[in-house]
Amino acid sequence: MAEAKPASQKIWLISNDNATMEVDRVVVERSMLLKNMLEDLSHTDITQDNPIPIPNVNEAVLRKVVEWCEHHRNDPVTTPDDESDARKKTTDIEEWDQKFMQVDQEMLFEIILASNFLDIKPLLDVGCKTVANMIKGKSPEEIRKTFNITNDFSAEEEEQIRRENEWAEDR
Amino acid sequence: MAQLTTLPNEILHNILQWLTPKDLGSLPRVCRALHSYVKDNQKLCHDLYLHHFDSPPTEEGFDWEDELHSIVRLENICLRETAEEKEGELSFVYDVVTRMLQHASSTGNAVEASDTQYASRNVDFLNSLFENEVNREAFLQKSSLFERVYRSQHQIPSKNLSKEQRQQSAKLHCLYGKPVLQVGRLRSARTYPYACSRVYDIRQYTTQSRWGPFMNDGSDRVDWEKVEAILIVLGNNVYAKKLTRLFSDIWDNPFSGSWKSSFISSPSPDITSLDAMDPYGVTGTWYRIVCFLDYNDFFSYNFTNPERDESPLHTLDVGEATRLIIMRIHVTKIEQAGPQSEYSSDLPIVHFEGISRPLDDSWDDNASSDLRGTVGLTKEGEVRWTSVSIFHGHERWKSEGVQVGGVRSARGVIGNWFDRDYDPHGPCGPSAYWKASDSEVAHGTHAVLPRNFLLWSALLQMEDSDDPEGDMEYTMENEEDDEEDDSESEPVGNELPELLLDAEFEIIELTHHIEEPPSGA
Repeated sequence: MAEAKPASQKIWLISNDNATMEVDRVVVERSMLLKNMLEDLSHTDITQDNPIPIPNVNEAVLRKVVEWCEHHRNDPVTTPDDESDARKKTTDIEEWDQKFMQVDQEMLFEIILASNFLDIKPLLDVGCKTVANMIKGKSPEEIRKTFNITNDFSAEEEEQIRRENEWAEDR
Repeated sequence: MAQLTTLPNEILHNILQWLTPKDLGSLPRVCRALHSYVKDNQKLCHDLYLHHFDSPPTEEGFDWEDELHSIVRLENICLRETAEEKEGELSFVYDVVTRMLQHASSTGNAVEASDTQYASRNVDFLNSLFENEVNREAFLQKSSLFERVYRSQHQIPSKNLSKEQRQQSAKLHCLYGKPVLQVGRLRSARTYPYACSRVYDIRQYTTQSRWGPFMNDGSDRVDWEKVEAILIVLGNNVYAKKLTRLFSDIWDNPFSGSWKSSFISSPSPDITSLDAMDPYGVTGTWYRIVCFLDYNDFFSYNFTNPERDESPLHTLDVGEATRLIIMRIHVTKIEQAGPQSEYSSDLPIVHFEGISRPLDDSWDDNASSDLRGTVGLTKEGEVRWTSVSIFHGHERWKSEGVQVGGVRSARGVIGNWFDRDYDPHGPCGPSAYWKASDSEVAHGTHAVLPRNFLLWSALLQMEDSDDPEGDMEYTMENEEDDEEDDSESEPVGNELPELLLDAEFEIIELTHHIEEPPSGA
């Protein structure tokens, strides 16, 4: 059961490389996974000595994720209704988030994976939109370069697939 | 190490759904993994489509991938540099544009500066394409009317277009809805005199065409070249009378309301059972604009030339009178079209009655009458409106029109008016009406006054008193303001002052009655 939870209530998380961090409960609750978990616990269950383990997420990534949650601690919780609202489906990213996402590619993908695991939908969307914006308007070769992908098509395959996708080019 | 191509599918989907339709052509060419992920991925196409466009009225049988491909091709064609490189694609462009309008649906909120029109992302997208003048030139200016204009300019018209293609171009122009009044960058040719030569040519009014904007073959198919000419004539007068300030949502915004159910319906609580069964949304208050020639001009134009043959009459540019009218109508009867009917049986035939009152000219008898009429679906699937005005119990004028965009479109009806007994000596002319409100109840004129009516009147008043030659003044101002809207450069005879007087009169009368601004009316 959820008990009285003063804004100052603290929660402790531990990354998969054993770094413990202290975070405000409201900040932790940006993660739907942790929010649901905390609702089933008494507030005395989690202590500095008994932190919540976050497997698959290392310290550097977890600190980034917590940083995001700190900044967005007061955001209204999005409901599925808002999600389906077509008008909100833009790739615009707010300025702070854009800066936040200026990290190397590996970190970017790690943040996406972590937000997916922790169920932080808005952060997942910001991450995915950031990657989408890196793809947008690029040629196949430019996409390969950006993401360090090897062209594994044979010459014949490449020609055939080029023809398959001719509709997108103006002839 | 995490990589784009090794991400779980659900995350890859989340990323790729934010791309543009065009990117779907590059991605599969990157590598095998992306190729196999994107190929035939209808779910991805579905989500990507809905991120960019309206959700279609029905998803059944909707091929998301195919639609995206067509839209990308349309975009590419519109990006070509010259009109010559584009115009060969007219039929394709026509198909995709009309389909996108058919698939348009409300985004749930109103268009800016309008209380009666839903916003649509499909329409926003089309707007962005047709903002480019070269695209308008390539696709909206290919009817025989424009061919005459080009010939007068000694320009070689583009290669032979079929009758069908001219119709397509004219229909695109009608759906675009903001008439092209000026042709060529030197602005030396106005389309208006050519449109008049069609609209005021009594030979266009035939039994086979029901004296309306239909083909002259009894098929009841819409003749979009006729609708286009009417649109130009009315548009020219709307701009000349500064009515764009009142009705910019209808007359000045590309593709505005040119799609099914684009009118924001807000039926009154006392809706009748007949209204509930009416698919066309007839009951309510409508704005109407009617233009006519001085009968002497009309007569000499049509009947004083002894050498009349089949060719179009010479251009006509003598100025017309314009009346702004309010119609209040309600459904009186709904019936099913029988097998012998001239209408399609897909939708019922709706009969209506009501009244019409002048908004701008309180003493013109012709604007004040009783009304009776019929709405039905033609066999071709267009919404056809017929109305008759009745003076002291006698039917006098009749009109035939087509609702641009289809059932319940906010763009409304465009057509012809003529003598109820089909008098071969006329008169006849153009007319349009579009819905203002679902309420028919007469709360006094101001309750349905268009947004900005008072502002408009006040501005006209001010501009007029500042400068005795107010007409010229506006023209100069408009030249700078907007490339498109300046074509009414010709002073329009003596009736603007008359309209102004009426407007002033109205304003005095109105300010006495009005408690609060009518914007929400």
